Amino acid sequence: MGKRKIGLDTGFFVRLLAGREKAISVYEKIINGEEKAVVSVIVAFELRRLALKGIIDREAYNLLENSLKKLFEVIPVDLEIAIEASSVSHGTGLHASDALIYVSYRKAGCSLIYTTDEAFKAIQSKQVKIELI
Amino acid sequence: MPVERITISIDREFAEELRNMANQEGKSLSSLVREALEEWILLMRRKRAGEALLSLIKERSRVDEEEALKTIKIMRKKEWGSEK
Repeated sequence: MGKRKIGLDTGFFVRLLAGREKAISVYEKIINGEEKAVVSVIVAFELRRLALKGIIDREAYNLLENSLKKLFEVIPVDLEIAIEASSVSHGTGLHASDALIYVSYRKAGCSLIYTTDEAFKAIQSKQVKIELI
Repeated sequence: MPVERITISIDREFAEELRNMANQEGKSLSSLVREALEEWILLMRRKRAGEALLSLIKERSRVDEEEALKTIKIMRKKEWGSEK
């Protein structure tokens, strides 16, 4: 059986950079090849914004940015994702960025999403479990 | 990508096992070893990149956690806000 895929929301990286135990344990499994993880370009956008605002330490951010493609499958927003996310956002009231991230991860085959955003709980399904971290 | 031929020495027992595995998978011994080594190199690259960040994080927190979570909420709600 193949490894399961995990979707990582921006809040996961905040917990990781803060040194939270659970996030570190998930991250260690990813770098050791025990789990596969997916990151949306929207998450990359938000992380850089946090770094530019000085909320994330510059040295740590640079290391993270340089290793994003080595560590994770980075998913762009394509036409299919944009159209499907629009329906999800309209139907559930989810913010546009949440909907784009959710649909990107669902289409990438993720069975679990780690987030700090409680809004994701509203769209939990059998195929994609949401775990607050 | 240009390829280079390399020669390695390995215990006879392992070489025999590799030949059997290659036969079972319908591959040449060379392909089997090449694929395994390439996968190992990618794993090592990932570990090295990942561990550099991990060692920084383990020294001390690298983020203002509360401010970061608040800012993400603002970005999502105000900049990308939905009508509901």
